[in-house]
Amino acid sequence: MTGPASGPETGPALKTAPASTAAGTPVVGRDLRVRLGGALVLDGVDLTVAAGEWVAVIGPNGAGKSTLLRAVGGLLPVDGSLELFGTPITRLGRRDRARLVATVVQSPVVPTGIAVADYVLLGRTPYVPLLGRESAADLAVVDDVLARLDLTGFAHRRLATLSGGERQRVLLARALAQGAPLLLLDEPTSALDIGHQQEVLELVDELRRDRGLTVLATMHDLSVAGEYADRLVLLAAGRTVAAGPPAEVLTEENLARYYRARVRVLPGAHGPLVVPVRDRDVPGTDRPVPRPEPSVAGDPDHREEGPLRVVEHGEPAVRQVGGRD
Amino acid sequence: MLRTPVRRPGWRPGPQRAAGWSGPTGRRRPGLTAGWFAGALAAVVLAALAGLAFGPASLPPLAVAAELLNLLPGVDLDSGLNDRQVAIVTQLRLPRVVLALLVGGMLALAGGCYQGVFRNPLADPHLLGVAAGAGLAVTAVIALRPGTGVLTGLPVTVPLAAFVGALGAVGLTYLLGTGAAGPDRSTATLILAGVAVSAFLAAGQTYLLQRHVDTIREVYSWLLGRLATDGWHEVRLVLPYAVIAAVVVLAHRRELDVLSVGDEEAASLGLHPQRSRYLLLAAASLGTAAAVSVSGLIGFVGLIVPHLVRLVAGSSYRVILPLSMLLGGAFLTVTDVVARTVAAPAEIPIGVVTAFFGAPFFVLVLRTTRRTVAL
Amino acid sequence: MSRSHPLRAALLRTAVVATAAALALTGCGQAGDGSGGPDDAQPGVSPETAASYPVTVGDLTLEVRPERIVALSPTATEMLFAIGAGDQVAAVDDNSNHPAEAPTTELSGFTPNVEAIAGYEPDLVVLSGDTNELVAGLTRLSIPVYLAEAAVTLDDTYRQITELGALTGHPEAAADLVDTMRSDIDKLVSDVAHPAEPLSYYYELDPTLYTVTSETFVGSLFTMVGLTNIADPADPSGEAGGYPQLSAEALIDANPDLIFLADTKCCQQNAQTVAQRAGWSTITAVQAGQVVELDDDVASRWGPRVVDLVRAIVDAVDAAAAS
Repeated sequence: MTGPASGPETGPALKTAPASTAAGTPVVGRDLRVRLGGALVLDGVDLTVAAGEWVAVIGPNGAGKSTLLRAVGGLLPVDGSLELFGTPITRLGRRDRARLVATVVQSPVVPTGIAVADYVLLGRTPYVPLLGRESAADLAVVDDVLARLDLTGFAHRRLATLSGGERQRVLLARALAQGAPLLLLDEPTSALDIGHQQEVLELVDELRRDRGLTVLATMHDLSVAGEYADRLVLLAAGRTVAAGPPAEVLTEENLARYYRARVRVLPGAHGPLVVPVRDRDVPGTDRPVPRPEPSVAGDPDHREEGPLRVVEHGEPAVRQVGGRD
Repeated sequence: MLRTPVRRPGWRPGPQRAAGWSGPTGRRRPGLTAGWFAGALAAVVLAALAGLAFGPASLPPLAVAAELLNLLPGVDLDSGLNDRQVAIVTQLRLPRVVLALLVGGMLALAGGCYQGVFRNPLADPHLLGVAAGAGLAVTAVIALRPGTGVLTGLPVTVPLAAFVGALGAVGLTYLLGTGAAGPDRSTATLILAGVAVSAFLAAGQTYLLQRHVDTIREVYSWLLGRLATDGWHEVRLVLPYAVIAAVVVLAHRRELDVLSVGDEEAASLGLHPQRSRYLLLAAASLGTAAAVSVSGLIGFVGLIVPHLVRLVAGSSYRVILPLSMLLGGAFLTVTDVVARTVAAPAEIPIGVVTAFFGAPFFVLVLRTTRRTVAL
Repeated sequence: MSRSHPLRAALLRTAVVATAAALALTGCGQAGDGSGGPDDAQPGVSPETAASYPVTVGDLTLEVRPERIVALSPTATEMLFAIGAGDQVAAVDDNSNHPAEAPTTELSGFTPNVEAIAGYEPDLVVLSGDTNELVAGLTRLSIPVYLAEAAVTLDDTYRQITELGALTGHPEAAADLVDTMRSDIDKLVSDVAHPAEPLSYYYELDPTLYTVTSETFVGSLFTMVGLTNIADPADPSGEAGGYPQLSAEALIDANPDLIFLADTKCCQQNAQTVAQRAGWSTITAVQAGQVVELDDDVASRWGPRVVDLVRAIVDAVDAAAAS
């Protein structure tokens, strides 16, 4: 029924678009409810991810982002209806599910002493017969993935000795080796500096376009989320409170309401840029700082009024970033 | 079990690459190389030969070899040994060497398996209550004497009691330790349940011993571990369970490698971590219970041999499990020779010898090897 | 029993074994019926011998004749009854199964309880070992205690009988008993056959091949009869306690001429079970039918029935020498 599920011979075929061979919308979730330890962590979330899309799930701490991702990945029992590529998840066997969905968790366990290539080879587990061993085709897939992610030089290195950015590429490599058309990323860049952050996300975007992958990620950095994702889903207290293109979701009003944060949202080349600002009176100094008028928040017409009205020592703190390119 | 590398020159990208290619990294699957396997087999053979040739009775090695050959049908050599000495070789040493290989191999295999299942390098085969359960059962049988009082009429022997006790304790641990919410938490809960069950059963054992102090010597003699053979009886007792356990555990060695990334990730890779874990634990516990039932509680082998293998041969369970099995058997065979020869005609409890000689050797390897131990 | 440190636990157990083995053997008595015992001491006991009270034995001084004796050692029980002090015994421990008329109670000789003992209002307590500060506890309650520890030689046995005789007011009966024992044993030893080459023996304490060396009390009896112990090389000076555990291989290689089983009652061993052990059928003792089944109790006590033990040994030697 689905292309990648047909076996390891699809090695070279991975370069083409497996999504086109997988029937059905990657993710269709309705009224998803997850209960963990007695508490209702997800309370009726609807989620649809179309083929080839990049959907980012954002929300304050404790909103249930990781839980949603794990539920979609089949790692948590979930009430409600969840279909992956047209099949209800409850009817998918584990191996079949592993061939459709690959998850990169936020804090992966790094087995001691394991080499990079062996770690990536673990991604072929869904294709290896239960009491059998990896075939030559599996090894070929691993080599292909390592080459694609520029990790060939690291193949013999112990995973634990790699730096954060390199390690993230290896985690990605293992997920790719699974040959799954749907990629779930849980905070893929939380432990990386901004340089590596960009590197990894660019890579994911490239791979997405190369191989026709569908990406569902939780991201905490809102600007980055806005720049890379096609659609955003804002979760708060286990419910979807906003969904749509980044410009619609990343509004000062939404962020003030759900994140309780004071921000400025500026247009960027690939999506809105969210800048947290500190505009409260600072006790003990004589720096009067005007509060932004509520009417300005979320009003696109006012964006053209010029730079931010935060003034410090008479100079504008931020210059307006051109949003017209 | 041997892996052969698949390699072809002239790599080119693109669909021309055929199946059977191992790519520019030239890496094979992680697994046991022919070199290590041959080395381990050689160690086993040498240990067996040592066990047959040496002992409190000084017998010329060639004569021993001749007597062993005489066991083959159609061979009749004159070794020059009298009846007693022949009996020593064929009815004492030979079964004892085989038993040592079986018990040592089983304990080391189970230890490696437990370490992989619990992702904890301090796990050993007695972890889930096997030791305490067997100890209590054996103490009960020895102290309460079947036929007098409590166990009247039951055809209970010490090995049977040990076996049932060990498995019973593991079953109790399983009942108490499962059902916890969350996949990874169930491992910790299982270990804690094992600790609790062990403590409880050990207390029961101590109480029984106190009430029947005259049986202390017999009980402790069993507890300290002993490879005493009564012909092939013990080997026959252990063999079926050891074979089943070894087959199941070795068949799942690749799964143990996958389990090393944690339950959640293993599940996302298509495994059923709980099911795999319990199957592996059941098999390893079965084998350990069988080993314990005939040889008492021999510590150290199950904990240290897998570590030794990990230090020198790599951390994939496809390497650790088979090598541990072979080297554990060899190790126990050699220590048994020491145990029955050094203080002849007396015999040192083998558990003491394994610790006495194994610990310093392990420290030596630890200090001279480059790999770091992960804890 | 700690399981978390195999090495430490194993060594701890070894230490305890050594201690406990010695302790267990001193008062070892298996549960079982007290089968008809051998002769008691010679008759002619006069209960009211003009024993002079107060009598002092070592540190112990008794003002009056004790009438409520509590004996917590099977050997002491046998001694007391043999010297005619049976009427004065109020309670004996749970392992004292000989003679049959001894008032057995649930008191334990191994894990004694001061209060339980005191509950019998004893005016003399006879012990074979001081565990758990028992002597101190009884002394604090002003209860006289006589420590009759495990004998190392026959002289210890004779001394204990004599002292108990003095303490209980039967000095003459005790002296008679000692004389009789001495002469019986001397006669047995002098009359026993002496083959050209001394016969070797293996003495079995339990089926896991625990044995005794010649440095022990039991071993010394065998040495007296002229036998050599195959276990002696394991612990020649007796420093390791004298109770080694043999390996089957060493035992078969040593090929003893005689085998004495002291585990017939506790562990149901006999000549047939021994012959069925793998490889044992090649041993001279088994082939010649020279496997002697001893009574566990007789073999483990150092009281008046020691004579029966020596007699059993001598009979076995005579039979072996004759064949």
